[in-house]
Amino acid sequence: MRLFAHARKAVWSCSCFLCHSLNVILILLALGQGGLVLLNTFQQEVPIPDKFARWIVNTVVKDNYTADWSAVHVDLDGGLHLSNFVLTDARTEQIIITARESHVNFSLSHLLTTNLPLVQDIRARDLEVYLPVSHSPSGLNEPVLFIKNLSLYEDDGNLIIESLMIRSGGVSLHLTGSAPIHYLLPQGSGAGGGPQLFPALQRLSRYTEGHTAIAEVDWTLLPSRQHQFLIDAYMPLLQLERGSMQDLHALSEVLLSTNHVTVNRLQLSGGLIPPQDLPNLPIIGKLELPNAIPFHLRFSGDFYEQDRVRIPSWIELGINTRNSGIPIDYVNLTTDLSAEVAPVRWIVSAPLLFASGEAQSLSNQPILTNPGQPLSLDFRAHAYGLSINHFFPDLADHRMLRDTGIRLTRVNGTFLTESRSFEGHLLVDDLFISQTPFSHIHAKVSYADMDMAFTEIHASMAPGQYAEGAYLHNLKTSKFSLNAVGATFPYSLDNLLGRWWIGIFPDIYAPNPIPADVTVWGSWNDLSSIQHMTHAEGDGAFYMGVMVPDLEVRVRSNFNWAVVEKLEARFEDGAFSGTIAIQSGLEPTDAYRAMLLDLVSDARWESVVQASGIEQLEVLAFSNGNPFVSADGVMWRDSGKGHDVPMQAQFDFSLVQDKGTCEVVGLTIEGLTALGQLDGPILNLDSLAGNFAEGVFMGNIQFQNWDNPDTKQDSYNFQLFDAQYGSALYQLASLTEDPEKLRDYLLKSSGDGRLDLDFHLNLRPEETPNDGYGRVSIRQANLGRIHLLGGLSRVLDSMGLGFSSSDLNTLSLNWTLDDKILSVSNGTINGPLLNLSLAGDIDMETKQLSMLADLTLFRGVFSKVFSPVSENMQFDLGGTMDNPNWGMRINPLRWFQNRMGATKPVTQPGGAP
Amino acid sequence: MRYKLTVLLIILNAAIFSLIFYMDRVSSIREKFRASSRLILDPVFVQSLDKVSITSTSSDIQWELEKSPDGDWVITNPVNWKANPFAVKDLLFKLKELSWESRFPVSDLSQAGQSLESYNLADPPVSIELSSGPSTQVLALGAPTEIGNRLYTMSPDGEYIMVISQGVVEMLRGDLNTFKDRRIFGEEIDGSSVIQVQDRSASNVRVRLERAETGWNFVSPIAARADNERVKGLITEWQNMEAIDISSSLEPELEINGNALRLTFEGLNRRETLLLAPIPNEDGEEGYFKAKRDRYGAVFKVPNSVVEKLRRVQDELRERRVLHSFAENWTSLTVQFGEITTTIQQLESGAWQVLSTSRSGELDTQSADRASVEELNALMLEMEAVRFVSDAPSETDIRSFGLDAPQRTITLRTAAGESVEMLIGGISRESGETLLYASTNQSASVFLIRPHVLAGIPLNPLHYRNRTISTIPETAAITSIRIIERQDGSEAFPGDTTGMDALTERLRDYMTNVRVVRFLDQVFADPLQLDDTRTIDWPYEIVADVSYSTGTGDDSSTITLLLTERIGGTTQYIANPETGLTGTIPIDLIELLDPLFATFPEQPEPPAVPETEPAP
Repeated sequence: MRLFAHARKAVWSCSCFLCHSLNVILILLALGQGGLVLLNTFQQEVPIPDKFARWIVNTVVKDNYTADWSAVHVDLDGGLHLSNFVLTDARTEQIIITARESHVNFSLSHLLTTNLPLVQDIRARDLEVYLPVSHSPSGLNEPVLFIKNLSLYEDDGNLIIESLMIRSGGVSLHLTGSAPIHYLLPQGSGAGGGPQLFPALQRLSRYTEGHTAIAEVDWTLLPSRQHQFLIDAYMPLLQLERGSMQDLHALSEVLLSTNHVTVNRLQLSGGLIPPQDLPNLPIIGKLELPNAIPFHLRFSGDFYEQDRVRIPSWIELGINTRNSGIPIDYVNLTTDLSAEVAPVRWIVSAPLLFASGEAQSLSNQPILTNPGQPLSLDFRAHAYGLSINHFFPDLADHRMLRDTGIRLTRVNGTFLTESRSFEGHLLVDDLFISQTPFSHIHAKVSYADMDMAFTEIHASMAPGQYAEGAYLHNLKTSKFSLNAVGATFPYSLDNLLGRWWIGIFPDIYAPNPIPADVTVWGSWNDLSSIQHMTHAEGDGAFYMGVMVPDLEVRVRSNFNWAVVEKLEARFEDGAFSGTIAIQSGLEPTDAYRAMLLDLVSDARWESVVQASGIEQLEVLAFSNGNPFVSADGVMWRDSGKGHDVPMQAQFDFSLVQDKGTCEVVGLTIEGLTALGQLDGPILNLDSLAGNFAEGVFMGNIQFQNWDNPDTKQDSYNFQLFDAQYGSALYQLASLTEDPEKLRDYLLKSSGDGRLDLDFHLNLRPEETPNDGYGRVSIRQANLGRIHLLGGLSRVLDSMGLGFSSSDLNTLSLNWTLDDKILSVSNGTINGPLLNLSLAGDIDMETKQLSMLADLTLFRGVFSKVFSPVSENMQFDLGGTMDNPNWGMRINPLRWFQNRMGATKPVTQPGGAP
Repeated sequence: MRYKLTVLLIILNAAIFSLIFYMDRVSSIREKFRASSRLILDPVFVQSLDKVSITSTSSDIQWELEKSPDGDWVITNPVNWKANPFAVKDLLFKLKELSWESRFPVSDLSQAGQSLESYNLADPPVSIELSSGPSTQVLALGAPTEIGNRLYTMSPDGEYIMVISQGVVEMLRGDLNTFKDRRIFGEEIDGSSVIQVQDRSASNVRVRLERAETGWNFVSPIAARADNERVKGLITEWQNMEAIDISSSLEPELEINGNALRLTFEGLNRRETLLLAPIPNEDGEEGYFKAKRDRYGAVFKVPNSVVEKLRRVQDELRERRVLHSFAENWTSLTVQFGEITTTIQQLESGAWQVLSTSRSGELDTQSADRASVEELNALMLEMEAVRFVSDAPSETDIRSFGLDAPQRTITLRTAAGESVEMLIGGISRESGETLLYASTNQSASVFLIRPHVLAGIPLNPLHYRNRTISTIPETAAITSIRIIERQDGSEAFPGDTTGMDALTERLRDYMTNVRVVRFLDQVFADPLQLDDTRTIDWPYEIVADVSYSTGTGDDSSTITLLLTERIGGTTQYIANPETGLTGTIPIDLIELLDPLFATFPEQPEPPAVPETEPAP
């Protein structure tokens, strides 16, 4: 029992001890907690031993580093608050990280088992990550990364980054994301990531220096242990070596693995800043560009890998230039990096243009990485509605340029960047230039070594009008050659080629296009070097209304001359040919322009006359044989240099009609030959010869000042021998004012007889008296019958007693013209029974006749017998030429007077008997 | 009793511990940490925003932006239109970074004799309401500071007035229209595989293009190939197209009239449609179309010129290079007219030859000129239809187009045995046109081609044959060269070689390999008989002495070719009497030779200028 009692006492004592001990502990605990409450109340923080904090920090931070702080506090939840935390490299004592305020929630359970993570969440503000001196671009241990806010925690084995706001240089980044923590733990033992991080930070500091950007990044660590970043970035300005961009936005999805960086998606957009020092472009001039030109850049498609970076191989760059001041709507570039040597395909669209093509590398290198390499640029471009005013808006109005434009222009070909050469084709629809329409032009175009060539040109103006040829041009020397073979209507080119062309073909009309072969060559730098040659052949063309069945012209020109070196107009019964040279390249001091002619023709005279345009030649008409006409000489015309000189010429010309007849002013001439000269103001027709009215005529004509009606003076000299009187008179009647009257007379007479004429006439201007002289001789003609006894003679004639009437069959007279008075002298009219001596004047102005005729009856002895009678009789011819009056004058004493005073046989009209 | 003390102590400890726990909750260092932050908005909260409302007293318009289920931001007020994603993200980023520079409690205002009005925060000019699910925070932006370019703002909890920088405010005070995405489509139509244009003005015809592996094709109203670059250009143009004057009304009107169009892009899982209706042209300005996307309510304007292009898509997007796809690798090309055919074909050796049949049916084979073949190839590749005349021509049409008796039939064959045949018929019936009707056996369509095509494929086999009429081996060299006037045997060249160095060099080069620009149809004769009436003399001969280096020693010979005078601008004939081949020499040689033969008159002595009488 006692033993039991002792036991009970001992248990009681122990219990009491334990109870007291517990009470003491509880009291101490209560005191301790009370102290904490008091401290919290007064100080709001709980200082803990520095070693405890260092133990926690060192659990996180490796031995190579030293952590320090200005103050550390904990809360009862396991929160560790560090102020002015500094992490330094233990060896070099260089700062690695500083944090103004940081708060770490640690797990107390980590004290029991290290399998659980020590840190539950970390929040920090104003962190600075430093680069060691060995990696610092500035050589200083200075911060390169600023973390404004850091908030990350562990949740169900995952690291959650709530917010990580980073700034480096001008680049700010906000990152969120999550990852299973066990993915993040190092696989096996190894060095920490610090030293490997430094080069990345170094690059970061370089890239972000001077740049401003913001970015949203969403990070996920995938089960494949790849880090996935969804990046949405904005950069107000990015200046690169080759250009600048503003308002740059980037959308990207990046996967980071241990071996690769994979960019699944990448889109960039923003504004390209055009360079300020844009050169003055030809034609366009200085472009007024906006501050930025919108663009977008997209990567898609299969992956392309280089240097362990995989990006989508299909790249598309779009530049939206609409409203940018550049006359282009957009530019689109695409390329496929996965190809061995990827071409860059491009599209350019503008209100007036659509162009596409591709750039190929000629050195098997990617174009994007080495755009300066030799490239081959293939392209196809269509331009619509181009007008010269698009290029030269302030162009002065000019006929040659007015409304110049092209409805459609297409250029396709290949440009080689290294050689700066181009080869391709040009196509133009509906070109209107210099008031001349071309429906289509197609040409092969090439350019190399300053040589530009348009070859295989095919230009069509309208159905049947076309040209094929080439234009070659050396840009260095300006030497060129324009060649064209084709067919067109000459007038179609009037507006294009201008005055010199119109001057050559003013009156050519062709029912069909004329085939031609043209070359112009020389140097634009030296206009005097330019030469030209044209060969044209036309069937059935009309020249000044003359249909030329076969026309061939070859024209050659240089600075000094335009020469028609071959002119052949072939007709069915003759041809017109020769050369014409027109002087060009005149100096201002040159008063005259020479035109050399050497032309021959055996074509129909009508054609020659019509083609010559000399209306006066229409006075001649040839039949039954074309005349051979030649002209050789020089014509001097006003040079157009302001000297205003009259035309002059020196020509030899001839007209020969071997067979057939020539009609001229009603006269019919056979075998006409005329040789002449034109020498200045004097036109001589020498050696005029031919057969007229069965006779032979010769003569010459001279026209002085022939081109000036005011001073014109004509000189006619003709001799006609042994012409058939009736025929001659009949034809010469056409020269009179009333030819039919004379011809009626001829009808009454037999018209037999022969006529000789000698004719010299000088016609002068109005103020100057005309003069002339000549002789008329008619033989064996029936010139009429004279009735000596008037009506009685007719009665006697009717009774068969014809002695009182006499036929007249011979006439000869001399005439002179002095001013307006035609004087007849030594005129004799002879018949079998009588001779009439005629003298007197005819006033050519009033047509008044004043003539007196002496009569000699019979011949030989009978004449002497009847002389007292005949000599006492004279006849007056008065009145007008239209109404002549014959009067008989009887002077009984005249016979005696003649014997005594030896008076003239014929007295002047009106003279004293 | 002792237990009572223990129990009492336990209770006391528990009470103190609870007090400590409470105190820790209330003023823990974590809270201190949070309070020490200068960020006004929790970045996590901003990250999760699904609605932003901006109210400005200056405009009385509340802008509302909402995040759609697919993550895109959409403006829901004052207009229903897609938001500019970059502007929205820029705003959110700025909100995340928004931090105060200094602050003071609202509760202290009265003590300082201030009020909310002092900082324009009683009725703030701009306020932003940020919503993330049920959680909402409002940020009121008040008056600017007197100096320092800063701004007073109310903290979301209303406890502080904070001074912030102007950054985000400048954005919100500016033109809020920047939140409108100006691009009508943007990337939304990227990767489209169907384009459809429905034009009410054209009998509501529906033009539909579909992308196949080989490229884009028209499937409606006709089946035809499309020009891939131009289709790509159309997509790019609409991707870049910006909306003009986006309406600021939630219920704008869009009158669909008889000239309206509907443009649809279809992609893998997207279908984007744009309605377009013309509006009257005002004051002579460029006309506009009103437009509306079917998934948004906003109405905006699009330039007339762009829309009118849509009306012409059937014409403008059509592949005009009718032989382009066949002309890449042809090995045989036949030009035929009636019974006459000329074929250019490639031999297995890679060389080309010309086969021709005359009217009498005789077959002739000649080596082909490679340059001509290349030019022919380029012609086939680039040949374009000017326009398509009919896609379903009747028999009568075929006859009237001259395609029942074509003036040319061109057949292209590839090494794989594929072939295509093109017929060239008569000249266009349109007045003044020089175009030619044509068709291929690939479709029934009849189209017009330009006249140079016909000129580029003459029937004359001489056009394609090798144009070399005389050549010397590479080992040979020309030792001397001269031009002799045949009439008297005198040397026209190098009789006077002044300034003729270039000619010598060119002649030497030319005589090494004498190529003619074009062959003459006529058989060689001396003189050359051009036609029944005309002949051309050969007044000159070019004589070149050639030296051959052989293994046994030097050998020499003479090449003699005949030359006419210059017949025309580009025509001067050369002939090889031995072979009878006659053709024209190149223009550059013609021009070099020209000074030898051209003559111009001597300058005549001009007459004396007549003395002019002095003016009275």
